[in-house]
Amino acid sequence: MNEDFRLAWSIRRDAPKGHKTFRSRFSEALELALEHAPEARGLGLDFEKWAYGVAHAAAESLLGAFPARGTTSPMDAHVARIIAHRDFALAVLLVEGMPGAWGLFRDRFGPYLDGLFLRAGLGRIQRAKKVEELVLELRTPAAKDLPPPIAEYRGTTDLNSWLYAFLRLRMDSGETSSPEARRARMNTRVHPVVSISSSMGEGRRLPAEDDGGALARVLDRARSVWEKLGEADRRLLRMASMGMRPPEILETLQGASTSQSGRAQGDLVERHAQLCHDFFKRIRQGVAESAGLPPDEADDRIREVFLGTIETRLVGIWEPVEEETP
Amino acid sequence: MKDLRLAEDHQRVVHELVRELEGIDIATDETGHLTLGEFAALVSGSLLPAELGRVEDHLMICETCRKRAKTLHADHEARVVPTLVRRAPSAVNLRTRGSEFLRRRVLSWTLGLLVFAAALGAGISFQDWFGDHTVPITEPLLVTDVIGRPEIVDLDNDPRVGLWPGQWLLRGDSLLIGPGEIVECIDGNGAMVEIGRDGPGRADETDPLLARVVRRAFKERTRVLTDSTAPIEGEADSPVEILFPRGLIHDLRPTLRWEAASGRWAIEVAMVLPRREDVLVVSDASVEGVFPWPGSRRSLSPGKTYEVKVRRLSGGRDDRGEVRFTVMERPEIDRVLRDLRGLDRKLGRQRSVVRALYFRQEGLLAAACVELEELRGQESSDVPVLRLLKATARDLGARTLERRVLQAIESRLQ
Repeated sequence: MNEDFRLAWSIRRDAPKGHKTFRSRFSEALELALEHAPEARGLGLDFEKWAYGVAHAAAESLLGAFPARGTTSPMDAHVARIIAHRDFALAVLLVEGMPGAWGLFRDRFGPYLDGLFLRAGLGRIQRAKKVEELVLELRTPAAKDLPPPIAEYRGTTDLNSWLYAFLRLRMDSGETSSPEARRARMNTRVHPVVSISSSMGEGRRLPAEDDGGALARVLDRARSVWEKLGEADRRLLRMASMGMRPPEILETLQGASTSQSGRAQGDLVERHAQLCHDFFKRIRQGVAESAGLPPDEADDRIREVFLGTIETRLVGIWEPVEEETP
Repeated sequence: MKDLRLAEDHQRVVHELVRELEGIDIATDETGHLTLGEFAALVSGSLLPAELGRVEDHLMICETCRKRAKTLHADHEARVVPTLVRRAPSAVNLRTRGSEFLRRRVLSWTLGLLVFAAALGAGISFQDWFGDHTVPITEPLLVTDVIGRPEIVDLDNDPRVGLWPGQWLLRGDSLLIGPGEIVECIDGNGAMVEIGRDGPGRADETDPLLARVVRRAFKERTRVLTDSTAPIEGEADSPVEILFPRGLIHDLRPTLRWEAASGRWAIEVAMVLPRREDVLVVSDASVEGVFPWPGSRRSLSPGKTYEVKVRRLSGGRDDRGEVRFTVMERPEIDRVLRDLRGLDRKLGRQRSVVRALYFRQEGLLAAACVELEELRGQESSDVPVLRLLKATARDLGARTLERRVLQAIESRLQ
């Protein structure tokens, strides 16, 4: 992982060595993917540009995925995802400004966009006009030195989903609360959402007690372990818990310095994983001793209590919440 | 370095504890926001596990992103699409804006006047402009979407009936289509056909998968119609009916859905997985419920059969029941997912009657029922979707659902 972080930083800095390493490591997969993108090859996408585009996208993808609660996926996983979405070959062409690329974009995504606008109730002529407006917008940089908006697409998902999110997220509040949007949302089927820990309520704070007092024991034990940690370790855990990424954490730890080497990134990730591992182990040991449980059962109990809470908090995002009847 | 294979769960717990110990407030601790790419990948489900962890952790502490993710997801599901594409003022330079203005205003006004004059000259009547047009149907078409309230007229021109997704248009039918009304269909070659006041127009190329689904559905339509009115045999097989997973499924992390026959009682649903510690228990007093597969649980194994046990505790009674489900083999799952991706590309990711038909034809009856249940809640669906749901519930053996749907059909037809 340390190696992959170093590689990603080297690619971000456009170091020739980084690009060379990337190409030698992934050349086979890159060649294969390019072979399966005949339209892109037909328009003149060469291997150099293709490899350069994938390398940057994979590096950004890796650097953005801090292991807040798990090990980071290696570079291979990021590359595999990008080249699995063949749309990325087209995106490279679009950013490069290759002649004919936007025509290919219209051929490939025109029907999808047309379908979206059809569902918005637009007529045939209006739809064609909207598609053209969107194409114009995607290819026109907001300012002289900025890349066009399509450059934001980095192959983390298919281009259809990206285009949907692009269109939807840029709607301002006035558009979002249009009568049409409200009506469609009201017609969504509504299910009550329940989970193991639904009794815990919507609040962020954990309940003070549970049936067997296991949660109170975990919290007590955690507090005592936390107090024994060094300030540096506490800061790292605290910042990671707040969702900060390695560059942000490094910047904060180094007093807003911008010197972020791959090694420092890798060390940070490893230190964080180690801390979490030790922290959890010490809590588990304490809980097991005080409750007279075998370590495995204490492990299960701790995870059940906390992960249930996490699920409850996130579940509302994915399922519509039941509306109150007047 | 130590073995950190179990680190994912542990780290989630540790972070939750740290937030608790430090009293980090979710409303105030925003640390930047998710990017467009992250939102798109989140909604389409293509985030890598580590990314998903980071994004979910961010969502827990960032109110703004949580709201945006929720709206994006809800709109995606509710088929809300942007009606306006607004352009940032700086996005287009003056020259482009000027040419746009010329193209839009001057040309459109000139063209409009010319067309108007031509129309007057040709003696086009008021009725032709503003009234309904009758469009004859020359080939069987499956209706997938309807905009406005067009009507279908049978051979005797009476009575007029509404038109809904899932309905078949047959040779000899005629549609009454008003201004701005559109009927979206699929023909037997798997091509999208858009019927407006000008008549049918093929909006897309043919698609073999869509063609297969539509042709098979056309053959089965008589049986669906018969099953949709058939009486229900036997009683509900369980006090709490599990709707999903049931029968054959392709989902390795299924969302549990259940429904009680009647009343509000304490309900316990347990999915018994092969290992004792993998029993998943959900308790609630709701009649109808949904329980997403917890992120901390391992996925199910392809090709294996599992059972779901349900239990209703009420008035001293302790009713129990169980259903079984089998997960498809891995190659079959891959094929289904590939086909679904193809359908999504063609039709968009919103729920549709075509997806339901596909699930039904692949034997994934529970998935078809879920799809149709979601469609039911939409304004534009009506009796055809209910008929298909009734027939599918019958094939699945979900008698509580079948009974409820039959009542809905009867009340609609009264």
